[in-house]
Amino acid sequence: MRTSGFITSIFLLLIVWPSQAQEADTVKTDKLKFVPSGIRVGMDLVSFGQAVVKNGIKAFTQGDVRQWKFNADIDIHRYFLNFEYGKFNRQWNDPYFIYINEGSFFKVGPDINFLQRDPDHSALFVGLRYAQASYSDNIVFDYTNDYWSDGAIFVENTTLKSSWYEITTGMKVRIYKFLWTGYSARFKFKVNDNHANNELSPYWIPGYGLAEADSRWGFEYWLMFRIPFRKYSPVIPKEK
Amino acid sequence: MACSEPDCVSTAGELVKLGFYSYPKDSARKFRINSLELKGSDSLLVEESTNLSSVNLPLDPSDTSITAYFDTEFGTDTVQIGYDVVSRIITENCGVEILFTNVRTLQNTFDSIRVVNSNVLINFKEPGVINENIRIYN
Repeated sequence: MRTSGFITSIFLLLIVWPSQAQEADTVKTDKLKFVPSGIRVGMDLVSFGQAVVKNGIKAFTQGDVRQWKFNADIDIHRYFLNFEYGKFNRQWNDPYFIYINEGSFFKVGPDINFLQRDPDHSALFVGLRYAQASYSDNIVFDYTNDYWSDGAIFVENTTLKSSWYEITTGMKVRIYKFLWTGYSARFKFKVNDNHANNELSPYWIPGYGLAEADSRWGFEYWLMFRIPFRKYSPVIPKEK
Repeated sequence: MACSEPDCVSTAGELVKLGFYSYPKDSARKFRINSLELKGSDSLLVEESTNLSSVNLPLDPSDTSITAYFDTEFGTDTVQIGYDVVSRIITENCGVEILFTNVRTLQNTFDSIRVVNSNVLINFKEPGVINENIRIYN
């Protein structure tokens, strides 16, 4: 799914790209260039697909993995201000333990768009994110002990917060009227994992992944809708 | 807990090691233990043993302290050792390990006692050798 999405994005971008030169003949004044022209909101199909593939339609209400990611961006000249939000809920049913982790996360940060003059407002971007997750987890497991008696342990963390940073890159292309698609890849780093401070060392951080990993990669394939505030007019430098 | 797979490496130890030292030279010494008993246990951990320079006490995962009663050639002494119990998933396939951290003495009647290593971990450099956690001076 990821590969086909990536190829589709490339293909659509190649279709769109030549048209920008033809349609961008009109030289506009730049007085509106810092006024946002619209907001784009979207949903990640990768996390949505993972839940549905694993649990079918039940993924909406139950299942051992549920993750939803949403994003929104507004354009400010050649930059996008991004806000992402996600919900995560997973239960690990292992032969030796049951671990439950649930929480939410948000990510904010700018992108710089290298296709700023595209009249369809397509984007090829790199950006930064600050991310923060609020979550809870618990585990129950049996243990054996040669001296003391065997037993069971249940421990939980009721309120945890972790933060990290991300470097992102990706593309967004218009496919039909208000409908957009695109992907983003991200490198996540510098996380605080709450490893040493709790009776239960967190295994997973919503939005980040494996808590003990110093860095993680992420990938999303977005389906987005754009709500325009005004007509978008790319700014073309005047010829001297 | 499960660590049967080859890639499953647990770092967790479950024995806290107490070493006996002479004061003030800080050199290991051997002495006789008439009995060593842990509170809450029905059996003696050590009975009528001579030339011991250290003892290993099993930590209880269901509690946050153990209390040991020593009857030695120097008399009777008690030490209560506190610790934190941390549960950690090694990997999804390897299961959970119990880490004992922040080892500390809560009460003791020995002349002098010192924590030299507050984490109870497996000694990978010297397999079979338990890292010393606490030094007792007499």
